[in-house]
Amino acid sequence: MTRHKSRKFTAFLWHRRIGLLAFILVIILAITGIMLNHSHTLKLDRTYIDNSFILNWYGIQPEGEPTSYRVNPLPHSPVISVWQSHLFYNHTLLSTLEQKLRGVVQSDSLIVIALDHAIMLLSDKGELVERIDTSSSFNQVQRLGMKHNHPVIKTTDQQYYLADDEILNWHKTTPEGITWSTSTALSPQQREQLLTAYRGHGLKLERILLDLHSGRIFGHYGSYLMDGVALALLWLASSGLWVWHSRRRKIRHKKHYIKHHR
Amino acid sequence: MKKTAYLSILVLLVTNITSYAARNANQQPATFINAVFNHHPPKAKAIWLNKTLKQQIADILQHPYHGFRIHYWQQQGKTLWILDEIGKEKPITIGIIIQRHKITRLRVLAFRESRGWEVRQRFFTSQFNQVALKKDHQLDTPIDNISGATLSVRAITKLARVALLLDQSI
Repeated sequence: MTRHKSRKFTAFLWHRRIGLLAFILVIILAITGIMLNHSHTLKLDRTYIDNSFILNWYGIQPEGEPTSYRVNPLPHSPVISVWQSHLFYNHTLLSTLEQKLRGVVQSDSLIVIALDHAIMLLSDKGELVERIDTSSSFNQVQRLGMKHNHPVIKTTDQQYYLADDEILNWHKTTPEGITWSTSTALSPQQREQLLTAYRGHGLKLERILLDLHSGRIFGHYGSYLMDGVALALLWLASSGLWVWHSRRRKIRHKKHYIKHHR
Repeated sequence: MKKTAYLSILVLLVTNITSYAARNANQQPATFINAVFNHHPPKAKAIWLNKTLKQQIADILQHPYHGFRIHYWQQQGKTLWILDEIGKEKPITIGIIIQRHKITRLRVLAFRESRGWEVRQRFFTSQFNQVALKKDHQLDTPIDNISGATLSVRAITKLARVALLLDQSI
């Protein structure tokens, strides 16, 4: 009886200790689990983190320097930049690219962006008008410029193509009289704004919750920590059952004793 | 016995090579345009999407359409549209020819997904011949699904509806 009592007490004691120890982590596990189950509804996959501490913790930092082009020579002209495959209109992310930026010009109210195998047209407010695949029309685009107020491209096979008024059709032309688009350096302030914009689109809330749930946010040993929590939960379930069963048996014994021995 | 084994291996190899070629036989849009217009393609035109049209396209695609302008080619009552839509993960490029508001030919120009390449085959694309758009923007003929290529079939059917809608709007 004493041995049985002591065993039950030990189980209860460890049930309490482990329960207290795993308390915070179990709450994290449960809340993140519920949120991840409804990731799309809660827009976790579309919410970006802009907290600099968390971004630094994750090391979200673009490599190299941005390549930027002014749309026109005016002082407040919009700037089109590419920084590690991210294309920006001023500080607004337009899309991610798998091709190099070859130049930017303005033709009437359209902004023309030349990539290796595509031409992107934007409105003067930076909205995408059309993306035209050029891979079946020309060789790789090398440069973009202006000739007689029309965009002109130079391809890697040294051919020159001039666009029509609506930038729908391209015709061969000669290299004379072309003003080529040239990249520009950003001021430190502009660079900082672009960096903030880049980092702002580098980390989704869903990623943080996944890492919290798996423990990877705490580093290499974080996943072992969460394994420990899972084992603790197993222990809590078993020891809880054991304590409950022992108490039930004790109450039955007590009832039996009262009924037959009093 | 040996001969049979060699023959079986050869048949297997040929079948695999043919199947691989069928999966990867992409056609450049420019080649398709040239072939359709007998090597004298007309100049490209563009349709500008107003709010209503953009919304109608978004309703068909079941996601917003990014862009305000779509290219097309038109000659002798025939319009040709080159459109893209993601099947499962990668875009499928198709060319659609429309005459009198009915599809006369649909061809898959580029299929980049790892599964569902059967949609390139004529037995599937010929189902779209003479198909028109109903008032509710659905096709007037049901398109048979291909098991294992459901998402690709869905993407191509959506693009056929978009092309017919655009053709009606020019």
